[in-house]
Amino acid sequence: MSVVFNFSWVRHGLLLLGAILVGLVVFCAVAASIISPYSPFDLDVTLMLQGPSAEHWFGTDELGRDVLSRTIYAAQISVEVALVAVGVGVIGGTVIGVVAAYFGGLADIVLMRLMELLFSFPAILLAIVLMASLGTSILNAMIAIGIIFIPGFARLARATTIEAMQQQYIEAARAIGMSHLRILIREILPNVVTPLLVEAAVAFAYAVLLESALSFLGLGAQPPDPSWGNMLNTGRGFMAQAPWLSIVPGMALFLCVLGFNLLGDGLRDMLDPHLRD
Amino acid sequence: MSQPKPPVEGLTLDIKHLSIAFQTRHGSVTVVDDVSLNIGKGEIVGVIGESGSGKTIASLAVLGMLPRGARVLEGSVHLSGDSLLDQPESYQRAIRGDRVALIPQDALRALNPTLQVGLQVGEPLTLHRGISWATARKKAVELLRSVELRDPEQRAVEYPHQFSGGMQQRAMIAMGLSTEPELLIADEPTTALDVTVQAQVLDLLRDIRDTHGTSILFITHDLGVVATLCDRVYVMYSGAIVEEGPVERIFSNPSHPYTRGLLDATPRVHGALTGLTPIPGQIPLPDARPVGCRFSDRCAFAGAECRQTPPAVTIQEGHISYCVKALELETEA
Repeated sequence: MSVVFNFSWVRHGLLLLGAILVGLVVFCAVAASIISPYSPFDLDVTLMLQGPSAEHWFGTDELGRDVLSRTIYAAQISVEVALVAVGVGVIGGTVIGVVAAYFGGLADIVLMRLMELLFSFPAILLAIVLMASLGTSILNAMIAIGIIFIPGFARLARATTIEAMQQQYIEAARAIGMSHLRILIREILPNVVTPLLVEAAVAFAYAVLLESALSFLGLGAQPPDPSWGNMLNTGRGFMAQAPWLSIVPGMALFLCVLGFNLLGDGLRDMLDPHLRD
Repeated sequence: MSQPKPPVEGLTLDIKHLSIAFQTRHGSVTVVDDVSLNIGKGEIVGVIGESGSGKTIASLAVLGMLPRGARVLEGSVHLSGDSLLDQPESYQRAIRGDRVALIPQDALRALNPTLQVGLQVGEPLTLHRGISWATARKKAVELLRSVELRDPEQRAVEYPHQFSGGMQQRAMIAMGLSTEPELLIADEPTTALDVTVQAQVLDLLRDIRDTHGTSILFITHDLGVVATLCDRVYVMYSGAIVEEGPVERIFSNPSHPYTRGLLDATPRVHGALTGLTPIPGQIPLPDARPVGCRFSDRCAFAGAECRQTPPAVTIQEGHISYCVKALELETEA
């Protein structure tokens, strides 16, 4: 009994930790201009590659910019990209998955084969291909990452829709003359939302990671805009002299991804009746 | 389609020579075979048969809601003179829930668990009468009261799981009545209910017929329910109608061996204490029916003449049996 109780306490503790980490990242993103001690763009060549000090807690980079301020501002870009990308993925995936499941037949076959085609590419490769064709900009990075998410959400939405459609109240809704659109929105969508919400939290972590990877490769945020990815890329060149240049954005990235993952797992456990208690 | 015949005046539902087949990998399988059935205004007509006899599929055809893979091969369906088959989806949608309402077997599963009952009961009105949600909600309370639900104001804002089985079925009936349809299709609406609640729901259906003149198509496998509620009855076996007639006639003079078998397999209070007689064998699969009369392989009276398609034998005005030996059986009974 007490073991079970402890387990659920640990699980909710992790959910809490995830929420705190995510909250911290989101807070940094929203309040970046207020809480960061310096502008992320101010150069001061006399202060190049300074170690951590009372003035610059996390030191300065190769152009004398405050690393802490840049890390905080980078959270803004990460959250923004993740938000838009997950939004694109959830909306696109839900529409495609629900339509495929509801209408079935040819629509199902064509849409889901298309999703499998997208799925068959490694995510980062697909992102690079999309960025290459769309052009490098932060907006295109959002779209590219969003497109990568669509197949996953589409499959999930399709599976939940198929399950919901076997319910008799869908047939009853048809029997009172509801249109397809009304059935989809009023009867099916409420069933699909919960699992998608959980998946979205996990996708958030992945989006942050992908954005950093793209920025690291020079395809995402463009200098001088700070992003954890391009900060890591710069830091790579000074690993021996100034390890904080890599460690700080690396830790920020790690904590952010950890936070979203814990939040996603915790939400799933909380919302899944099979895992409750 | 065979050439459509003009529908008979005064009939609410007129099904003529309806055949429905499922397309499968092994070809086409006929599940409803040349079924003709009609319901007059204000009449309660039972369709009785075992699972798989095609009674539910036939009723879904009336609603234009055949499952995927099922197709009407021929026949016609008229609702108060308006043809229902070969109509665009939008036309059928306008009929469903407005002029024809379905009362399903399992009311709990037919109600959306995430929506208040009142909203669901009023929903057909918002769909077909274009009234506002607020008005529909008020109407829903009246409807719930009309199906004798206590404290309808409170019930309307509750969720389906807060209702008992009988209350859920009443709510479904209230929903069905909201648009005052010409025809109610009740697909085993009392099967999931216990006997006392079942009797109340049957009383309610009869009241509805008496006050609104609603015609009711009652699908069931329960002979007792047919005896208490219906005016006329159609007995279906393996996709076809084997006997039809007024309820008293069917019960007193069953003229098809299958109907007799059904009655012998039903317990009765005043019956002889000889035990029940089950019908031997099983209902044949649609692609493995015997040649000629499809009941012949289970029939105690079957002979060589049963290998022909059985004729329609009129025993009496309105009482028809599809059996070569119908008249012998009738006198014997």
